[in-house]
Amino acid sequence: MRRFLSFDCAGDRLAATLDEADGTTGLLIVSGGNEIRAGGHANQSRLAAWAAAEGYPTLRYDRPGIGDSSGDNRGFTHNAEPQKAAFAAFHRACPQLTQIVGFGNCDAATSLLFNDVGFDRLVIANPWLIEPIEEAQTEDGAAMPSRAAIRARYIARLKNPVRLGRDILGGSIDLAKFARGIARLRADEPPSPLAARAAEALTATITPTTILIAQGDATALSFQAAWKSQAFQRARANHYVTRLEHATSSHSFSDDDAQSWLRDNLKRALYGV
Amino acid sequence: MPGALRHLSYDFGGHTEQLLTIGEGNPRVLIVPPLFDEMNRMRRTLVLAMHGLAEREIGSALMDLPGANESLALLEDQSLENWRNAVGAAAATIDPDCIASIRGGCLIDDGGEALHRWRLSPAKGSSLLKTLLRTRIAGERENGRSVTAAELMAQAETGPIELAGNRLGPDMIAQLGAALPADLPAHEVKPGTGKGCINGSALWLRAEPGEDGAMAQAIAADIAALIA
Repeated sequence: MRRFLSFDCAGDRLAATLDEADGTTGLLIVSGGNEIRAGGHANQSRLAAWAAAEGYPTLRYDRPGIGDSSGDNRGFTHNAEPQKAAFAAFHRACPQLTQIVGFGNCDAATSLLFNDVGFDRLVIANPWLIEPIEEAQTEDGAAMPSRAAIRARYIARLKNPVRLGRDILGGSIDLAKFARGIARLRADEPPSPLAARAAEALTATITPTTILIAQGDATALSFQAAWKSQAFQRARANHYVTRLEHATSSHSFSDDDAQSWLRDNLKRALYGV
Repeated sequence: MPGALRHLSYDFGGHTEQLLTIGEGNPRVLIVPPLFDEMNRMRRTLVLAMHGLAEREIGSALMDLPGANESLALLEDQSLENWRNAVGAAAATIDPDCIASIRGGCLIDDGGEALHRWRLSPAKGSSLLKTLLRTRIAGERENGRSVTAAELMAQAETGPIELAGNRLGPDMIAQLGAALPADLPAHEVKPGTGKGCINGSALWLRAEPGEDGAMAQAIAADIAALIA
């Protein structure tokens, strides 16, 4: 059964959907960006229904200032209180729960990493480590992707000469942008504050954490670059942290294959606690 | 914000669908949302508008279309005709004074009866379909594959196809391609300045959901004035 509930968070009233099930392990889905709790093209709504059908009660909520909730949107770095409130509301709504797994994509993944809410396990996908100041603007105002994303894209294009030729002749590669991108690759980049904070969190955590990566996604590429850097050396050695990759360019794992892979890994996490 | 959320519902197609309601008593306004991800981008602003209506002692209900938002129905089983009937079911449940639709919602608002009809920036089905096709084609190009609109439309004749993350059935795609808002008396507005405009922006064009508080207030004021 799917039902709607609300809970208080620092004076705001947050809207949530509970998909009921008999199990004692629950799944709390945290939304990324400004997306409503149903997710882009209702993908999280479907994911929740699936998890509940597998026997895991599932809760999703709208952050303050998002969707049906009251309050002001202060961004993903202000998600500690709402996550804690959702966690508590989940226990109240499903008193049989003994364990809760947290799942989030993109900046929701990052916020789950930063907040000590009490989850028994985390599944975090394509964690967002891109600082607002890092988004260099082009003349037409479009933000440039991170160095790692640019590098991976160009390498992919260089490996596919047929496509490269077609793109250059067809005008879909802006050669000036291409050159600026290459120049940017040469510049040294220290870890961003977000990346440094993520490294610290992943080094210290004793919560079993699975990081899921969409290999072709720009956000994930940026994370991968950070992961491979010196700053993440101790994080890489943390046995509580597992990183898995899948060949998809879909940020939200929306192709059938990627969605299957995501669900398999969520089931493993839910079963594993 | 005044007005807690109330969870009314309507039954349709074997499912119970959400009627998110704000304001006391029987809601006087049924809101038919934009289609597909335009709903995601508009939702916050629509909810704020509903709070604005509640402040004016007018209750309103925002319906989930089957297969969208919190609906457990399958999107690929839907068509505009089905959605029109869903609007009818929602309207029969609350008997509103006004059906207020936004963008693609204006293509299906004739499914229900009400004294007043309010429309914000009605969209042509063909224009919505074009945008969905473009998104799919661009996504394929990103992966080094090329597909044409004609190829996708041909595939769509025999089974569901995925466009911008939405699995759409043959009937939906065929009907979208031909759909126009029904020629019924309606108070029509669009964001901007001047006659027939309300304060606001085309939030449905943005990359991700946002909020336009001024537009929300303008929507509330305009609907309230219509049904006064």
